[in-house]
Amino acid sequence: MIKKLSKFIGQYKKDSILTPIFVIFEVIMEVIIPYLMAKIIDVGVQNGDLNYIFKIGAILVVSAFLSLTFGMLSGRFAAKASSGFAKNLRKGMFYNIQNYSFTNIDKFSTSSLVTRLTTDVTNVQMAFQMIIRILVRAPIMLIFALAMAFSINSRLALIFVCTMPILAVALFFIATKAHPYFEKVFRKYDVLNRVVGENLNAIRVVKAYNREEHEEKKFEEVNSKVYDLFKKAEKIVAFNGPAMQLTIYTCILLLSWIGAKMIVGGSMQAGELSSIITYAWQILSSLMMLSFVFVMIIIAQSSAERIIEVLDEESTIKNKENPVMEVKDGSIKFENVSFQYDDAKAEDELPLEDINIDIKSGETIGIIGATGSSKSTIVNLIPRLYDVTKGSIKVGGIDVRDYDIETLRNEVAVVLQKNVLFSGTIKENLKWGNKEASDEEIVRVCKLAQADGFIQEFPDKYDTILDQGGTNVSGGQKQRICIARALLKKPKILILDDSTSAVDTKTDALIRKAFREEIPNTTKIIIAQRITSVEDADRIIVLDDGKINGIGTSEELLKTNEIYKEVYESQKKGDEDDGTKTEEN
Amino acid sequence: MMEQKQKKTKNAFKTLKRLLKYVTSTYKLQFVVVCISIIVSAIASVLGVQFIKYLIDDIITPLIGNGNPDYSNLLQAIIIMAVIYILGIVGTYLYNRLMINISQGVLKRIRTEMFHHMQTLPIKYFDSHPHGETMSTYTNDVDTLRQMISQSIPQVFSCAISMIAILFAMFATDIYMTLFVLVMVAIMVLVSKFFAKRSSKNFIAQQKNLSIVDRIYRRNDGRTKSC
Repeated sequence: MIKKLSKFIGQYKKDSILTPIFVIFEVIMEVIIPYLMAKIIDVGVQNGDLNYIFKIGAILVVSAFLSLTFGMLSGRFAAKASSGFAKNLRKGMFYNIQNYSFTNIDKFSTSSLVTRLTTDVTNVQMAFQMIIRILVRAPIMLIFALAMAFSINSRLALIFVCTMPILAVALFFIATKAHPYFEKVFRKYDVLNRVVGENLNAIRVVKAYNREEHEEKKFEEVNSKVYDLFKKAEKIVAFNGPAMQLTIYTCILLLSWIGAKMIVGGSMQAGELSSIITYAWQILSSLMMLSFVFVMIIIAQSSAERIIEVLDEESTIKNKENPVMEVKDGSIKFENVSFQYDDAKAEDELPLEDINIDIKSGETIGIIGATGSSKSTIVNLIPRLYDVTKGSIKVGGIDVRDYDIETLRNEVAVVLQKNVLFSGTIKENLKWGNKEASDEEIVRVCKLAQADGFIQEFPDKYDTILDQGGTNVSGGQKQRICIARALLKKPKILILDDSTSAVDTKTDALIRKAFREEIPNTTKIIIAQRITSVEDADRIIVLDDGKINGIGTSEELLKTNEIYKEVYESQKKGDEDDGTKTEEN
Repeated sequence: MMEQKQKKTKNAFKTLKRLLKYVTSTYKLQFVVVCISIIVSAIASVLGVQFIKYLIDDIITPLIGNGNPDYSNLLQAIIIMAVIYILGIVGTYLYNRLMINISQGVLKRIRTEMFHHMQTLPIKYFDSHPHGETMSTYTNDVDTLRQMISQSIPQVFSCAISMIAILFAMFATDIYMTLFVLVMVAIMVLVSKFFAKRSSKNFIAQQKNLSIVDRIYRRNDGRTKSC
């Protein structure tokens, strides 16, 4: 674990090494000062040698000043090293997360990744700083004090040697007991984060349905769990201080008893006893520091493990060796495709079972089916957001797993129903599709997506600033911006996953018309709830429970397919009732 | 500039006062016990130092040269000291243990109140504040508070008690010497204050940056999923 993490010290190696060096200097100075003071008293004052007092006094002042300087320098380097280390860690994690497939992200959950990137990294950062400062300082002080104690009276100093192992065992016991609880605490932190995150994202729904109380109850549940676990963990750690004091107080009492007898017996001086006890206090204070660091390390250990999990996670979707770098055309072929999610149980039904479809380049395919009929799953397989469990999918005649992932995803654009816009201007958002797109190009795709009209009506036009999540445009407008963004990629395959659900039927028809006329060579897959959105497609796939129920044109399906007929009739009737549908949202 | 600074320190005091109110209001009795335990623990450790002086001067020295020493006085002194030490240890455990109840309880309450308050905020707040920033208050900022409540507050209190006790002992030994030390301490405090100010500024920046990391991550997560 340490080896893996130490790699991330990287360019801050210099600072990480300088810190302990300055700490050592600082300790040396601190040790010299009492020695010099003793000299002043024992030699200078006793002999009445003023010259000597001034000379040593001057050295004393210099030492004190140096000690302060070294202390400051070590603090400075420690801060730089630890925050640099944390920066590298976050960078490393972030880069690896970018490679994650959906399966990887599902495994961790978004909220957990957020906690790992923030809280866990902070814990490790703190521990790292402690390790390079205190963990160097305390043992040196300890060794020095022990050595001095031994040089004064080795028999008395043996008391330390006898009591230390008992303390070590106690500390070890505390650590092993507390660690699992801290681990659990962080897992609960993930849940806490998730509840807050969900609440933030869905705040409109929460308010609209007056679900505040329900949300609060949900939050209270995790909150109490975090409270309980933290208490359990800290209860164990609370034994740390008393255990330390018990050891050192026992030492002092033993020293006093045995020491007193030795003095009376004439084998030791009274002054020696008092200095050996002074060293006992020094040992106590360094042990206290050590125990403090110790607690930090226990906490950080759980965090470090969580960080390493993120770093070690290998993407389930990887490039093959010598991947294909070019997608020939937009044809898609599903051959005996079955799919199952990783976390599903064996007896669970397959979300997709034995799918065979042959889509020609440039064809427009509609997919309809009830909610939960795996419409989205089927299209997620095409840009390899998930990999098939059985069978194969070929794009342009080549298995998707043989392509370079970036090449494949550039050619397969997916527009989701609940799509994401980022805070920034409309233009910036559109350029996610293609960084180098010219203004003319942007206007062209917006016209195709029927977005140009409303954008031109904004006072700032394409420079209109969108709020986080695009809350200042309507749902239908947001969807059209997202379609334009996907078009800017000039993909060979365009997948609209229920992405015109909030657009009125008239505009929806205009978008499809524009697609037909302007990008005839792009394969278009349209998933929809609304029959009018797929009605004029070249072929329509009816999905039912992860299986293909029927394929054909609307006319054919009306004759042969029960499900299609039923949906068609119920929706057409509804349309006649309220005339043209107005924009939702 | 000066005014701003004053306002800032005033605000900091207000925050501290508010935080202390959280600590003292719900857990009044426990907090009183914690204070007493800290006093006991601090006095025990100061007495520990004084004990050695007493032991050497008043107990051991008279015994030196005594051919047939009577150790009963020594034993008695050590037993008394042992009792004081045990009280000190019990005090330390008690305040550590109770402080957990208090700090975790306060944190839980703060989280609950924060979440409750969040539910009452208008949508506008959520549109104008990045979600990452709000989220990191629940974890990063509350975590920092945990350290403050469970470590800093008792430590400050415990040190203050020891300081007063030691000061008394010092004045009893030599008034002028003590005054000189106090002047030196004053200089030291000024120096560390200067550094503390600088470091707290950077620390605030760090917390802010963490919330940005959070934000960037959420943003990017969206990208991995959508395009």
